[in-house]
Amino acid sequence: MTERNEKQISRRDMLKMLGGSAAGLSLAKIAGLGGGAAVLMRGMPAGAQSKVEIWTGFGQGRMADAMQGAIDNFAVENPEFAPEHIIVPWGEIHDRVIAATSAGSPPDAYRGWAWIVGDAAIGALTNLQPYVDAQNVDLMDFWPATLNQMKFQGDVHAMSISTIVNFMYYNKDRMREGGLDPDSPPTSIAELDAMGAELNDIADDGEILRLGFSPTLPNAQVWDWGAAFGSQYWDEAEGNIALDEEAWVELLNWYKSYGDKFGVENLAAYRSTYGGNGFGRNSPQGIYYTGLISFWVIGSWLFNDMGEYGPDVDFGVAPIPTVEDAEDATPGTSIGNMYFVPANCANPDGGFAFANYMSSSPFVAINKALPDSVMPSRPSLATLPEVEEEGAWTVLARDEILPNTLERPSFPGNGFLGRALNESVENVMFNDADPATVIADAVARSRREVERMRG
Amino acid sequence: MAVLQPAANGRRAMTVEERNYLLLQRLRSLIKHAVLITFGIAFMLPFVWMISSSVKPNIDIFEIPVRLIPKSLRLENYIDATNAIPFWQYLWNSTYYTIFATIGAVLSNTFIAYGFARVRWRGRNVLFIIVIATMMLPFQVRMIPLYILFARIGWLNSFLPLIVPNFFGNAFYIFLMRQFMMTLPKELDDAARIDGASEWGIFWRVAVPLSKPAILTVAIFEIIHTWHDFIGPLVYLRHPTKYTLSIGLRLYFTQYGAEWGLLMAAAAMFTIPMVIFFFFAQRSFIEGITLTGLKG
Amino acid sequence: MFKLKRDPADQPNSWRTDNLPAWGLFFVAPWIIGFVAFTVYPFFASLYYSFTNFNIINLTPRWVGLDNYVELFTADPLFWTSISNSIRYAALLLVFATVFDIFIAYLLSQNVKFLSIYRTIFFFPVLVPVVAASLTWIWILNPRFGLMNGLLDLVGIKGPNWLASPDTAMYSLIFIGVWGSGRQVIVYLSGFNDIPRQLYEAADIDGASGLQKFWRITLPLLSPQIFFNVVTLIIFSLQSFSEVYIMTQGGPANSTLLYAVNLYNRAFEDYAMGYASALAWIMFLLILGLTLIIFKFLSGHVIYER
Repeated sequence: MTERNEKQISRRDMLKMLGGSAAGLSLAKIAGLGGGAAVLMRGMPAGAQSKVEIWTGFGQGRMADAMQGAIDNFAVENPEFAPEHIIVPWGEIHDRVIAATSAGSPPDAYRGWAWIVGDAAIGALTNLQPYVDAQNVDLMDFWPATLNQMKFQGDVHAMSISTIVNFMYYNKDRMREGGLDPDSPPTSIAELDAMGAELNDIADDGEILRLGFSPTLPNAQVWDWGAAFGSQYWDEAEGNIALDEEAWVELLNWYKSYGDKFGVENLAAYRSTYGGNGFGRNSPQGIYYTGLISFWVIGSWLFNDMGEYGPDVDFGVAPIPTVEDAEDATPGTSIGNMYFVPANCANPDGGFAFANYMSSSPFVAINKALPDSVMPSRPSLATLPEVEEEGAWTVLARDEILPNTLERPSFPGNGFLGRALNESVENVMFNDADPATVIADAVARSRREVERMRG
Repeated sequence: MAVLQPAANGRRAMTVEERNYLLLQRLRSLIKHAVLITFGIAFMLPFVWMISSSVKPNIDIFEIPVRLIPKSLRLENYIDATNAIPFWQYLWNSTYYTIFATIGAVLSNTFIAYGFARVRWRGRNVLFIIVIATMMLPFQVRMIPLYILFARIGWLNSFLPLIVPNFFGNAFYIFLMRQFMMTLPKELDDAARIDGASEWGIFWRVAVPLSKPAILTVAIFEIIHTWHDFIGPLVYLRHPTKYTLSIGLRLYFTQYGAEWGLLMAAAAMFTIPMVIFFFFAQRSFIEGITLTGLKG
Repeated sequence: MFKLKRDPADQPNSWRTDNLPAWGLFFVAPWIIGFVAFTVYPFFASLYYSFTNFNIINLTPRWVGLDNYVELFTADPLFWTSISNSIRYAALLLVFATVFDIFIAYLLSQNVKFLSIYRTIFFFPVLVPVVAASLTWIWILNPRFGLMNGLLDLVGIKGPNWLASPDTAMYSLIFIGVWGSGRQVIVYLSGFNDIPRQLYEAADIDGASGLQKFWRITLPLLSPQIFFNVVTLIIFSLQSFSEVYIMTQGGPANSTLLYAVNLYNRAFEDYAMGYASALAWIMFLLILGLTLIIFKFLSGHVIYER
């Protein structure tokens, strides 16, 4: 099958070339040869099946194996399709799919997050509602928050496999060391500040050796803190971005207070040393497994990593602390993990079949979602005995956190707002910018971006 | 520098002045070398650090104080690096892109430069000034329209947008080759013309053979440029199977964060072909840079 | 742009007596075709797009008049941030790279032994692919586990945060830029080697000091190389993209948000193609303006005849 496809690809490339100039034409053969061979193909061999090209970021290790297992099972259950799995860097998957869509060669399905649903505004996604209607997909069997995220202007544009809920993790060993009660983690921001301060380990020159807590740490999303301070992000009635700017001023001042407390440069050094690309979650030396941090906020997906890389760490999970007196404060946001079918893909039927399979198969829920420690998006799957038995986190996430979190709305311009909010934090912390001005400006620019995307 | 001629053949005994002068010269030379060696080491350190990190086990990577010479070797990093991403596929894509981009650059620029350097015709100089002026037009201005153009004719996700333009000349290379061709003696052309050679014949049998150093220079520049090219593949090659190494290296930053050992091993494997290439082509290389048309 | 070689036989009316223009056009034809397709067309298309709004999926531009330009000048703080960052980057890199490269080239021109080894070393960074170099630099500049601060630690200095702090990120980039400027060393070296020895000998006889010789002989005679390097460096550094895109993505706090990076983000991350086209045009005008200024101020001081 691999060989056959290569030939098809190069022939197609060559046909496209016919419109080109004479010099270009002579190059067509050459170029066709150059791009054809796909080493990444891992699909099942097949006869007269239709190919389904799937892009994900699951490259190596446990999660990649789980992904491949799910794809293989899809091929067994749906012999009419031949899935082909292509791995893309996580950080680039969205950009690359968009560009490939613009180029007319997108995958048939790809794995992304709820906020990408906003791409429907620029026509980058296949509307899945006709498929959902034709195949009687049970939409009622999704978490309401997740179902909302799957829809754009009332139509389903994504199928959710699982829903990310963020926890506050706390290191009980460190709490004991610091004389805190390991069984009563902070529930409010004020408590978090106070308890975190007890567990810092700072060198004489200000260098942070071990950190109790800081909101500037990698992976702590500005979106979640915004929710915890009582802000919304989207005004459905108006159809544009709307933040509770007062809550954001308070939030930015909170960030700033951490800058003042530790020294911005010390926080930056800590973050740069361990953050993002430094100390990953897949190594026993990772920041979470060695007590380098006592309280941190991150998705449920870290749970199994904790078991794998830090089996000796005594840790607990709790809802994200919120500002006590803030109305509407929620313990972070929830984000659906989604499968999308890009517009103008070669095999939308296959793309939808795969997306639907990923969101509804008990096999996937048990063998893919659980190993990744994320909760299935369908209540019927999240209440399977295997899920209940998986660990304390599933029940906590399902029954206590998810019903109370703010759903991360899927609107166009989501990426721009995220960048603008992070810039605001940096501007306040590093440049002493005025929080009210900064946030008003970020919102104004993001709203304009939404208008622009609408055309 | 040497104004005095110190003790030729050592036959004559040196005067005190001469001896002091020699001493001074030695001291200066010593300082010169000390400065050069210091900076030289500093310049090589990043590469040394790359190699050193590439053979360290993950545990040793995060070690304080830092260690330039690895405590223990883990050469498997190199094997793991080629397995973690489709390394060989990307290496081939890079090679492929480099080969055809270089062929394009050499063929077109030799041809075009001949028209500017050796054929006299009306409008030549005006056109050549336009050639030079295009160097000032940033890639970014052309990026978006070309992206749209290539999207419309279905060239995106192939190497065509990267390779085809190379067959139509490049201002910098035209400039370089023209400068070189101008230095070739005119009499050769005239002799060939008297022998009845056509303009094409002069180009092919006189200019091309004599321009070999310049052609080689263009080839070398283009090989390095293409091998390094980041923004071109970033914009035009969106399909993961078509990545070149410069794009593919970022795959080591996966959901796990960076695997520095593997990343450095891959970076080393990406760099080493250029180093080997340089040692073979070093002389033309240096000459080429010198030749960039600076001699009045 | 640079000193062009003149064809001695290039008389004003030589085209009449010499070859037919047809042959010239024949050889230059590929360039003309490429020029129209890959330069003229995008140049004007970009101008048109800059007055429109469209996204990367729906490639049909919609006319919005001057909106993009108005927004850019009045309501986009990142535009001004990125312009000032780019100019700062280009200016500082220009100064540091030029001084350093001339210094190294000068040392190399003094009949040193092992010249080819030194030359190779200073040229070496040019050989390291920009992606490989940038990734290595991220790792070298890690505040805690990186080589740089590790070495500073050995001599008892607590190193800065390099790329992680808005105070030092730009200087880190310039430092890396100087490291990668070996091409210029080679050019300057060729310039030094072309300066006739007799001039220095004559100056020695006149009792000129080292500094005097440098200002009166070396610098003027090196002016063609300086001019060439300055112009190319300005043009290229104002377009710098890859290093920053890989190492800092413009952060922290937008302190390294160069113009080209902002432009790329707007085009390919926010899909605002029309707006990005307007940005591209401003960039073109900026580069053109700066280049012309340099031409005006420097070209008069360049001495070509020896």
